[in-house]
Amino acid sequence: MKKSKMTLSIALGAIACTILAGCDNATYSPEGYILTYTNSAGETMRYTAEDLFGSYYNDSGKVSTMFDSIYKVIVRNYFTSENAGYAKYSEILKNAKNDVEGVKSTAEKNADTNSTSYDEEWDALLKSNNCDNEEELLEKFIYDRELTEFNDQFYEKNTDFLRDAVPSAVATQANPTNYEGYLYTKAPYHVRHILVKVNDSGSTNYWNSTIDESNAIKLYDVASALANGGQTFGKIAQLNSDDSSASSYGDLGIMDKDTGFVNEFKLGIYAYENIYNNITKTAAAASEIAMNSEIVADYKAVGGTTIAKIPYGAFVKLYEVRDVTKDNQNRDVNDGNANFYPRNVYFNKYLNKHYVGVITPEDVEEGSNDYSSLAGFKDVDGLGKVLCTSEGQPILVVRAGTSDYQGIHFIVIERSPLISGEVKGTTLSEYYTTKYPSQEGYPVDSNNNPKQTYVNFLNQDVKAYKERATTVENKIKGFDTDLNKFIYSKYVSEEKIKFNDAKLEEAINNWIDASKVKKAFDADISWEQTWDSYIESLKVQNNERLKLIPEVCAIGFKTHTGADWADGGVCYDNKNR
Amino acid sequence: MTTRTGKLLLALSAAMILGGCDPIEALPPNYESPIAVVGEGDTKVDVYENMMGVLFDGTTSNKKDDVLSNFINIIAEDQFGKYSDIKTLVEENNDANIAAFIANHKNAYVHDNKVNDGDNEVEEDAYLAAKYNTTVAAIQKQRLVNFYNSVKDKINEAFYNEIVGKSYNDDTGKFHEQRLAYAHYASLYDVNINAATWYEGYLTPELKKDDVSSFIHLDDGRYDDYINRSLVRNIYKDKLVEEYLLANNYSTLGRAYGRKVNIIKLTRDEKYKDLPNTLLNKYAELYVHAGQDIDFETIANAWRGFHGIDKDGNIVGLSTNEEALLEACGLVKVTKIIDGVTYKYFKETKYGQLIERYSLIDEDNRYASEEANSALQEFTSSLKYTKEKGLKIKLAELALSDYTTDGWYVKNGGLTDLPEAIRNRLFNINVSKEVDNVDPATYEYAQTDYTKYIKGHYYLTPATSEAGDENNFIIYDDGSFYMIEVEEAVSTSKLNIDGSASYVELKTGVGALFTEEIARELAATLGTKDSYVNNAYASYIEKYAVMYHDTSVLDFFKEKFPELFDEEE
Repeated sequence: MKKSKMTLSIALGAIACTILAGCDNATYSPEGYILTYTNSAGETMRYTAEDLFGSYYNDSGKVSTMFDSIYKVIVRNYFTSENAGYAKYSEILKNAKNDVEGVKSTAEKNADTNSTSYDEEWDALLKSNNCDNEEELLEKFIYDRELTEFNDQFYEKNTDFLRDAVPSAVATQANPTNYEGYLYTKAPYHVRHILVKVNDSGSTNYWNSTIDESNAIKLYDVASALANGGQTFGKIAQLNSDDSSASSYGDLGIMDKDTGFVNEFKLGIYAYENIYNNITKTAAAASEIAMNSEIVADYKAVGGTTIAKIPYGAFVKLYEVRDVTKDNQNRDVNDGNANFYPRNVYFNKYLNKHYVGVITPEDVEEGSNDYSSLAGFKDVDGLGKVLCTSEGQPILVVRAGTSDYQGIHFIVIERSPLISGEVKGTTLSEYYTTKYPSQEGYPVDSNNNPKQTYVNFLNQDVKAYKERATTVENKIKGFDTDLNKFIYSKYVSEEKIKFNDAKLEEAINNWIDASKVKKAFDADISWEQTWDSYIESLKVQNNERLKLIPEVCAIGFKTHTGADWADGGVCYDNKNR
Repeated sequence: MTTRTGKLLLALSAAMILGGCDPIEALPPNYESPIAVVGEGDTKVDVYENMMGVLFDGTTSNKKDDVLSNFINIIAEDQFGKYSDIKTLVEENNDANIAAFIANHKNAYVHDNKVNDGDNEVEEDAYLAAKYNTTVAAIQKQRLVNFYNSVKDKINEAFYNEIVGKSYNDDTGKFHEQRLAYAHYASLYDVNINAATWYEGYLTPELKKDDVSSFIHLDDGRYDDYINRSLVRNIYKDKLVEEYLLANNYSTLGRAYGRKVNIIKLTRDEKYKDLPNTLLNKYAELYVHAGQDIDFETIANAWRGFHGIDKDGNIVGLSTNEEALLEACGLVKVTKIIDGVTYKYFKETKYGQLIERYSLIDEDNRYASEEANSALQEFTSSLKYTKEKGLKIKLAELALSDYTTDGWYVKNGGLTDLPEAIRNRLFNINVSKEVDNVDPATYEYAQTDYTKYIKGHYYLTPATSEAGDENNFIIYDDGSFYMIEVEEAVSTSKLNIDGSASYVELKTGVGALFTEEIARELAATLGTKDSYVNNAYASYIEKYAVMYHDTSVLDFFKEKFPELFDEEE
């Protein structure tokens, strides 16, 4: 019996070994070896899982993937360790379980609709959620809800910091990671405008734009209403602006570095604040909208060392000649070429410019009227007497457009980010409050009255105020696409979380650093390229404007006689008659 | 065996049989360690997926390919030695150190395979040493130096490809080295982005693959990490395949119809139809038949009309020789001042035509002609930028237009841009029979020849040409003119080290490794083909007696290199 048992054991053992050998040549290594090999010197060497994983610490794509997983640990930890998170966990868990039930119910419905089985549909839904089983699906939904709650709580606690943080030469206790907040990074402007559209569709008709009579009338109406001073800018905008901002008294909302306004508008404002506005020049040079000395020099070469001036008389002339298209004997001039219509001559000479200017009380070149007694003209430091709003804000004017429109913008900077101190009793931070009037935390004055901010800029109902407050909140929440890297750094620096593996920590820190540096570098290049492109277009404009039909042609249009209109004259249209 | 042992064996066997074949996965020792800990005792943060294994699993989706790639790199470095070590050895030039290094890397630097020397069999290096009147040590040292230079060239080539790839150019076509550096920095290479100086400039035709030092700082170590961790890794893998082909597929190299060529191609344009033909014929007269140094870049530059824009944005004009060539064709240099800038050019050249068109622009004329307006629109991209910027963009593009092709090519997949008739003729076996087999003293061109030998150079001739045409090596096909110099045309017999028709016998005044270097060029060209790469990798993996400790890796290797596992199965 012993012998037969032994024989059985040996036989079974042989079978087992055969199975093992036949099923796999990989041998288990508790040390995590992947390969064992003999090198050319005859030495036994290993390539291990640790080697493989370690090689990923220098691969930015892999480190990014690791970061995502680590961030999940941070978020999940928040809901086990911090009171505010912990308090929400049971609700999150309950909702996540409901989400799972929802998927199950969807699987049932799909099975009915598609005439398949519940298991098939369930597997498909698991796969679409990148999960293998119900447990993973539940954890996914828990995390999704945790992340939303985590972000909401983080914003809630840190909104002011995210909005106001300013970097300094030496990191402070208040800002240990030298974070750059929304106001600093994105330099938001609250802007208003009146848009007068013109029917000239060619954005590169730098010398030969043509407008119709109604355009000429409207341009005069707007300029004269502003000059006479009897109405507010907002009222004039309401009655005249050719876009949807009319219903908001010309309010265009917040323009920051991410806003997709045309270069003439956005860069025009930046140029004004950097170069021509004595109040903001110094702050501009140290801000995120600074134009470096090369860009300033290039811009001045095309836009002028002093800001471009548009004489008010040009608007008056536009009105005077608004309908002049024929000569004294009602004949076409130069075969009815609209470029020679007086209104177009004045428009092209004085208004058809794609860099910002201001309106001065002068007359046109050939005129002699003085409009400085009109209420709208006020002295502004560095600009002289220029057209302003009733509150003394200079009005910037620029020709701009896209494929959808062409027109003249009359722009007012309601609040500049370059003035952080109080304006009308409100600081820049207060101006961009995320609260609405009557809500706790809304800025109030010494008499407990709500201060004038972006939120209550207009008289509106609470719902509208809430919407405006939400706009500001969303700007602050959304401006930093790398916020999770900041949160990570904050948690690590506050030692709320520590790494078990120093090399991993180093890899993550290197990756965050490298990303930040590259982002800043790319942003600088993009900024320079944007300016280059805009300034280049202004150079083209200035070259093209050498072909302008001179003012004398507008003056002599009705008679069109003399040397100016003869062959070789400045008003001659190059046609043999 | 005792009863106890028997019982144990019975139990174990039963377990194995019952347990079946669970896949084995190699895991790092810290797989189950937490990622994050808290508190003084470093307590594990108790949340779902707080485990290093999550990071491992999340990043190893391409594990099999990464393991193979890394292992091949290990093999390559084991075979050739570390690039940084080789660099030091070559720069220090200490023979003893070099010899010791070679002794530790024999596979790569010692050729001890047997060749025939008369009736005797000798080692290849000894054979060459005797033939070239040098020593075995000198040959092996040269082999190491050649390897180093070849890797260096490949590094240059990789940077060249990055530079001309335009990712780091601004919108006028100017290259910015700093942008390249930052891109690598963002990929976690240790690049010195705080360096004080960076190159910025327009690429000129003088920028060649073997010299990018005027556009990249290769001398101060700022890219060393990128070179070692990325470029050398890839180059070494290619070198491994090259080495494999040399050792195992030598005859294939001979049969690859390898050609080293210099080609110039000029295409007729509408305005100056005869210029390409005139230019090539004049070049033939002044250089080819006159026995001057042959460099088709002279023709290319003359045809282009300028050398590009220098770092300061100034036009770099033609050399004296290039101008002389154009003048010999009857062309006249003109001078034109446009907006205060003086342009000197030959109007028939590409550059000249560009400037002529540019000069049509009549910017401040309200009633400019249609042609002037059309030129304005063209140079300003419909008034997006100034014509000066537009000219710069066009000049930068023109500077990089390439009218020459040179290098090593094989019949299979090489020079596919050539017209088929020309290509087939170039790779015909007769070309390899003719090249290197001419006796200059008695040579006479025969009408049936595939090449024409003139003053030390071979030129491909077309299948049909006019009798008596001295310049019948200027080939016309479908609107373009070609001149093709054949520097080398390889055959099996030429590559046989010990053959009577080998390069060793045919060529004088060349180094001992001349034949080997040609073989390596062909191996490098052929070595891009997947089948050779796979065979090479399999061959080396086999030498390393690999044991596998991960089922997925093993399965992957089995799939890729079944021949390694055939015997076992």
